[in-house]
Amino acid sequence: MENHSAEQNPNACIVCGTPEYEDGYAHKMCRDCRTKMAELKIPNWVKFFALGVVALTLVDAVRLPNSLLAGIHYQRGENAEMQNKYATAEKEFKYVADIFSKSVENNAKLIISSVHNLDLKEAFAAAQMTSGKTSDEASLITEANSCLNVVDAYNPNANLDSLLEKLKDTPDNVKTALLYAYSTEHSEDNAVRLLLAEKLFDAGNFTATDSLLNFCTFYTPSNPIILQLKGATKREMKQYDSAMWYYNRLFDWNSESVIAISGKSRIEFKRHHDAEGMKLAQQAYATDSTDIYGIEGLSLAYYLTGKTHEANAMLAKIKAIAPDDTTIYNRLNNDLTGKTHFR
Amino acid sequence: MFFIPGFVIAIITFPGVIVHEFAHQLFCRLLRVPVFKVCYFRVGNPAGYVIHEAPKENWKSLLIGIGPFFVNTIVGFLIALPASIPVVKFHQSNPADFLLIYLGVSIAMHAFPSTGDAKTIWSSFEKKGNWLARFLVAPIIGLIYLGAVGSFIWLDLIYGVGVTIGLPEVVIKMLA
Repeated sequence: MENHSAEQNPNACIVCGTPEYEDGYAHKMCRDCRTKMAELKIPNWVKFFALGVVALTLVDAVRLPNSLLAGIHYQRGENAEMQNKYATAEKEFKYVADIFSKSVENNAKLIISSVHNLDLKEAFAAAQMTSGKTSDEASLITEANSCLNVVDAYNPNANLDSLLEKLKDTPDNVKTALLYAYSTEHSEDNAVRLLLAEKLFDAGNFTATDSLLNFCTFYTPSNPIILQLKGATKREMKQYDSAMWYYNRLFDWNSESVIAISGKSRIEFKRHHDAEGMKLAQQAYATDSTDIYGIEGLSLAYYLTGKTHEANAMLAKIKAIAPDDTTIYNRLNNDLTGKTHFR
Repeated sequence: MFFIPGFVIAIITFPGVIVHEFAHQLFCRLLRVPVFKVCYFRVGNPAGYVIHEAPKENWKSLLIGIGPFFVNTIVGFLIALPASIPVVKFHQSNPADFLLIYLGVSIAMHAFPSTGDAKTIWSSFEKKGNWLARFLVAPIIGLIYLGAVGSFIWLDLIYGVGVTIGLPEVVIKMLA
């Protein structure tokens, strides 16, 4: 092909030499050459480099939806935590734990929120995941540890554990007497006092429960475990205002405390304020539909308002969620079958 | 503050230089401006360049000049996004994550147009623009020079880290 150079014709395209060039530009070029030059070829090595980066990004991007969701739920958990809404926070951090189970920070957050919900099983499971791990967020770890300390004081130590093992098949009244003797010898052991209080409560000895809890309260006046048992005890002693006071104090600890909401619902039913009781029972269930204390409360509410079918469905739900936990199931079953009377 | 020669930084962050020059070329292509030569990367000053015809319209000069700011920022963010959440928020990573974050930071830190780009934009407005156009473009030129000066205090690196690590955090906060 003949090459018309610009030197041969100063009024031709500087690339191909054709006399028809586009006017008004810095360089004289025809339309085709201008387009070709604008679309200057990208070298293959740049294309391969870009391809490599894109491939690597796409491979890693497979995790992006889950990572993004985990990040969003973690942020929502933090937001709920800041508003003292620990039921929501625990749900959000559990979601993240399903994706990033080894994240020390998320497990620490899960410990904090589950302790605030008195979900000790979840708290100790998360604590096991963080055991021996380090984190840059020292203050978060300190907070998680101090939360664990709140409930850990009520975990049986090795001595009490071995005593309980020995007393496994001992009749309840003898066991209680022996635990009393143990608690007198070990005045520093809050766990045995709490255990005794629960036994006395289950046996219907509420005055004794109350006085024992007073002793515990002396050591840890704001402990949520004490507060919840104290609320229930005062309710059964028909000291409703006092019971309300204890449950309201639980809200300082967790504004979404299912135990407190459901506990207040039970007080309203005791007072024969059924409409208010039902409202609170439903609120507790809506806050956390997997909390068995909340489910028990709603079942009781249905039963007391004549909705036996719904009450039995809730009883079945407890068995499905916590097949090993027979205490609440048996207690509720006794109420629903008329063996015991809630009010 | 410690000093590392520019060519060493350019070598370490060469993917950013390539994307920067590619961004200039991309805008030339989109705006139908002839390109005479592209150097995607070299050991020298500048580390890369694009020689193109001076466009007839000033706005085209401006877009070609600041194109890398948009392209490098977006590309750097997208490349690092899948890696930045697991690494930064949950401390769970694999080697590919670190490679992607390196690429993301390298690319985003080269988002700032160079002083050479600023000179090209300004000369275009000086030749053809009226006083109003020059008045409007002057802050952009000022920002580019500020960015160049800021690179002495690692402003480009801070920007790169901000885009790859900080921006995903902002996105999550907005979506939560």
